Amino acid sequence: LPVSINTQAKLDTNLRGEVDWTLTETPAPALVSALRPFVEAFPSSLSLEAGLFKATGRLNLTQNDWTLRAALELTSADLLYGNNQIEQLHWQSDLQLNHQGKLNSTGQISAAQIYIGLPVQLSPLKYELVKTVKQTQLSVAPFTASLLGGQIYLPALSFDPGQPDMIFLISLRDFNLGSILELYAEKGLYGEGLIDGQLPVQITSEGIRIQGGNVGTVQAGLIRYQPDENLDAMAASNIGLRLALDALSNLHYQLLDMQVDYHPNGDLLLSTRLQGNNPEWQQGRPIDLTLTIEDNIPELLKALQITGRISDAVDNHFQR
Amino acid sequence: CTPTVQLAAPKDPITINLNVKIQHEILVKVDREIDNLLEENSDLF
Amino acid sequence: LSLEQAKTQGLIGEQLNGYVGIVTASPSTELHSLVTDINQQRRALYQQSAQEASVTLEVFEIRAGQRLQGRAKTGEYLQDQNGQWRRK
Repeated sequence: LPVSINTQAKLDTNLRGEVDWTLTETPAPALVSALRPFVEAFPSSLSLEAGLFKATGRLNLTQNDWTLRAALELTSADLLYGNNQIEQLHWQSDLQLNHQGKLNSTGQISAAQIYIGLPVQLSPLKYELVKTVKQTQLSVAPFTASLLGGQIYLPALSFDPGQPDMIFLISLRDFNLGSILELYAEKGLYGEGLIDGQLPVQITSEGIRIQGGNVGTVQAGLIRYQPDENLDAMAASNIGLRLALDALSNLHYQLLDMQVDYHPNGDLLLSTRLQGNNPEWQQGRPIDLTLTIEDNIPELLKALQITGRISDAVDNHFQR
Repeated sequence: CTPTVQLAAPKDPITINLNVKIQHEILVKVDREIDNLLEENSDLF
Repeated sequence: LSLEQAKTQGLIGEQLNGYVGIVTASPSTELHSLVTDINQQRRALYQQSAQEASVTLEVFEIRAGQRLQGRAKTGEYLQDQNGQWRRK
């Protein structure tokens, strides 16, 4: 193990007393690859590209049990987990472990930027983890995720990460419709407007589910969509599509109301209602457009990750 | 005075329904193709 | 000598473009023919799969390279952006 631990022991003849130890600051990537074979908790798709780790603590040895106290710190770490990247991760934790295997630990995690196909910032995450042989309980303080120009507010949560079974409400503020539409990298698709929402999130061992979430805005906005030729050609033989494309070519909406349903397999169903008009179509006749959109989030994120990576790679390739 | 006929803009809203199923880009298919290659030709990869 | 053995012995490694490259400074003729043979077979497979997924061969090769480097075992050699060989 490429690491140096200095210890200072005050033990009596039958080895009772205290051992103070310090693990001097070590490059974290080397530590992780050395520990990987022993800790199955490290998923193979998780790799540490940078970071420094240090720890200090005290081991108390008494009659027939022992207690270990430790303060751990990982600084300026860069992680790669599958196609997701975490930059400038800082993790600090205090823990106490005893011979019965009872672990009490509190800590805080913060990161400059997380990239899951699109950039996300998380406010510092404060947690407490209590683990006994029988049960594990993780409690997380309220925190905020910033993405797509807006924020998601998450409440305090407390659950057993091994068998999560909880339902909580998250609220969305000031999501930028333009940024959301940009995710789809559809040339000719453009939007302006701010979106708020409330989503009841249910997490079980089956996964994440949202039923009857509501997202929308009463503040005016607009959607402009110029379809490519083959979609336009398709509209020639489909009156509903023709009408929708005409309306959406420059839709100024006063009301956007969307019901959100999300399934553990990643399928997302958006039943959207838009009320407004298109000043360049039918003399601005009022429009009541119902749009049901089906997508799959993991597929969307994978496509974003691939296109993100491939377009850089192809560009670098040509620049060289 | 002569009555003037003005084509009043239609006031009643036009209701439109559309279902959109988003299929992700070809690049997701690339990954599936690669998975097949890795499975069928393990000696080459 | 198999691809697997050559990799674990650090003789060859995965390049960015989805093909294997020679790492060792003094490759045997046997290693040379192994690498050429494997890359030829990979190229044929990539061409067919790229058509299947209707993307250019170049895009397919780059994505294959990313995936192959991602799944390489620790200790195997990988080529980085500036063409240097580095152990995973």
